[in-house]
Parts: sequence; C-alpha cells; structure tokens
Amino acid sequence: MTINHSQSDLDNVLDSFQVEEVHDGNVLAYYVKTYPQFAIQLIDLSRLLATPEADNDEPLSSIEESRIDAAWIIHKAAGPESSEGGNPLDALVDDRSKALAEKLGVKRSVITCLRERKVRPSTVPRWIIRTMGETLDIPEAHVIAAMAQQPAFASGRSFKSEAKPGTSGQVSFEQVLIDAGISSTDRARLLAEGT
Amino acid sequence: LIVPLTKRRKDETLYLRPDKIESLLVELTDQPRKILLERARVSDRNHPSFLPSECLVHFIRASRSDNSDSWFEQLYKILAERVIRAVPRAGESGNSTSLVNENIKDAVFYRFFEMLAEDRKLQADKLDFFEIRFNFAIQRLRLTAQERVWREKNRTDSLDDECNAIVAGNMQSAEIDLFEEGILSDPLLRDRLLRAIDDLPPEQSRTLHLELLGWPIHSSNPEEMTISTALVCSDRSVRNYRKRALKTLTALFSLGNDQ
Repeated sequence: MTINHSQSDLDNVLDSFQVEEVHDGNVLAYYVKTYPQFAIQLIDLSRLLATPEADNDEPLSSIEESRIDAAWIIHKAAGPESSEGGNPLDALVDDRSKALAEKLGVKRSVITCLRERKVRPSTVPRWIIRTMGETLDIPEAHVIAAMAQQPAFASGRSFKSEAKPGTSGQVSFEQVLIDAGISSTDRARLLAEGT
Repeated sequence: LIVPLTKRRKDETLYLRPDKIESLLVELTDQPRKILLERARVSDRNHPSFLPSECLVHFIRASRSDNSDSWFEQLYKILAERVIRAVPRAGESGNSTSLVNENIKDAVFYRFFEMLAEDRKLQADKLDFFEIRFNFAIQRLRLTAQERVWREKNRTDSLDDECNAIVAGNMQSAEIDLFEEGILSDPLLRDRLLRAIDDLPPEQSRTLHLELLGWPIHSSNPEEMTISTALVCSDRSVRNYRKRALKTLTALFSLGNDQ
C-alpha cells in the first residue's frame, strides 16, 4: 500500500520504470528491490506493458461514438476562446429535478449527485443518460460531456469514495444509489441496461 | 522546428521523443493538413502510411491555439478512436468482470481527454509520455483506473470468489503448462495467453506475470527477489494463486481449442 508515500514519489518511480528500454524480470526486480513500497504498482505496470496492444477492427459501438462526441464537446469548451457557460446539468433543479426523480424512481438526492457531477458518467446506464437528455432537452453526448466536467462543490453530503478531488473523485452510479439507501431491487432495475 | 518536450527526469534532464517519432514529425510538419488527415485515418499499423499515435498527440497539442477548423476536429476524433481501441474491450459476457473492465476502459478514455483539455488550457508536461510511447502511457492510465475500479468493486464483492466459481466448473481438464506447451513460441498463442492473464483477478495475474518473467516463488537466497516477497504473502498463497490462475487458463484454452 502507498498510504504513507506521496503520489509524486510513486509517479516519479513509475515514470522511470515506464521509459526503461527493457522491462524484463531483472529490471523489474531492481525496481521492486529499490522501491518495495511501490512493488504492487510496479508489478501491475510491468504486466500492463507486457500485454499486447489491443487489436480490434470492429466498428465502434454507438456508445463509443457518443463518447467521442462528448470528448470533443469538452475539448472545445476547454478552449480559451469559449465562454464560461454553465453546465447543462445545473438545470436539474426544482421541477426538472422532481420530474427526473419520478421518471427514474429515485430520491431527489440521487438527482442532486448527478447535477453536481458526483457520478462517473461511464458507470451510468445508457437509458438513464437518455432520460436525462430528454429531461434537459439536450443530446446524449452533451449529457455525458456535462457529467465528465469538474464536479460542482459539495453541499455537505459525504461519500465513501477514497479518491481524490477532481473528476477522478467521482464515484460510481451504483455507489451513489447505495449511499442514498436505494433498495437492492431498485438498484438492479436502475443499473440494468436497455430498460 | 519541433517543440521539445518539457518533462524532466529526477536528474533534471529532459525526456526525449524516440528518434523515429522525432524525424517523422519533422517530415510531417510541412505537409498539407489534408495529407496528415489521410495518413491519420490509416488504421493498419503495418501500412507504410500509418501514423503513430504519438504523432497525432503531438499535432493536436501543437495546434492548441489553431484548432477551430474541421480538420482538427477530425484529427481529434481519430485520436479518440485510437484511445478507445488501445484498451481491450470488456467482452460480451455482461458479467461483473466485464463490467469492471468496461469501467476501466471508460476511466482511461475520460482521463486521457481530461488531460488533453487541460493541456489546451495550460500547456503542461502531463501528455509528454504520450508523444514518447503512446501505448505505454495508455497502460499507465489503465494502472491508475484499475486500482480505483478494483477498490470500488471490492467494496461489494470479491473478484476472486467469482473467478473461483467459474473455475470450479472446469476442473476436469489437465492443467495448462505455461512453459512446456510451446505457447510462448507461438506469437498468436502468446498474445492470447497474455491477454487472458491480463483478465485474471489481480493476485493471480501478478503471480503468472512474475512467473513468466522468470521470478521464483520463493528462494533460499535472501538477495533473490521472489514472487512471495514482492507480493508480501506466503509461498503457499502464491501457489494457490498460481493454481487457480492455471485452472482458469486451462478452461479458457480448452474452450478455445474445442471451437
């Protein structure tokens, strides 16, 4: 575990390992001996570097196409020339929040988490993204892009995530449902694809 | 002139792009954008016009103040597709392991483009490694993503338990031998094996990876690095991980051979 070691130390060690010319057993052994506190991360990185490059020529799925569109929207928004417009999810208040909660059959606190970008978009089933898009009157790709932006400031709620702040601090949709006390039956319904 | 990378090693020396990438960038810089796009669209790595992803990352970063044209959007989306294809798909099964893999894949995708968006706002060195060896840098993102996803997953259940259930149904086959079946000498089988190891639960995956690297499970020589030392567990535990992993692989390869 790296609890007592800084992230930058770990990053520096992994940087050095990553750019080694060779990643054989001897090189890995040297690093693990020198940095035993990062042994697991070094071994995992070594394994990933040894894994052959993914090689699929299959057409992209519609979800993957949407993600690419969403990434492009985010990138455009990141440009210095763009205005600092609000996030479309900010509109999930009052009647819209209530309407979406009723459509999905969840508590308003779940909608608040969605509005505050607390949820990692990749963990949200497509039908929920679609329903959000309908509620907000925007395309699915825009919903994904909006969810992937920096989380809004929390308003006193706490989460069990141990992750750091920032987009990486988002939690899974399932975790939000668990934290909101949604029953396992309702969770299964909500997490099912194609509902 | 190709703008040099800015990321520095601990000893303050700058990281450099490989010569092959550097010379390709020089060659491409004066080419019309149309040519660049045509080459970027080539997806076959063995095609002479194939453009390494390291170059795509460079041109997108280098165009941060000149990226409103449609050509840039096309280049960006080609890179996005490459990022998606650089991480293995989750598989068709829809079980929790494939969902975990899907979450890892998505996390890599979003993190990469978050970094690219940050780089557009404020040029930094975070993306430099993607211009040095793109695939390794993607794998590094996978490392970070999988740690988080595994941690979340382990809150509610155990990947190992799930894997054991799969293994239990396939115990009748003779155990696969990683080193004596000629697997490693066959590039196709080797790739298949390495991808299968990549899909195993973490402890099992680490154990087999280290074994393939030639590490012993244990050693009487305290100076020798062993699997049990590195994983901080007993050699008995390592043997258990190994046994369970080999059973899974045996089942997978038996199924593959039957088809």
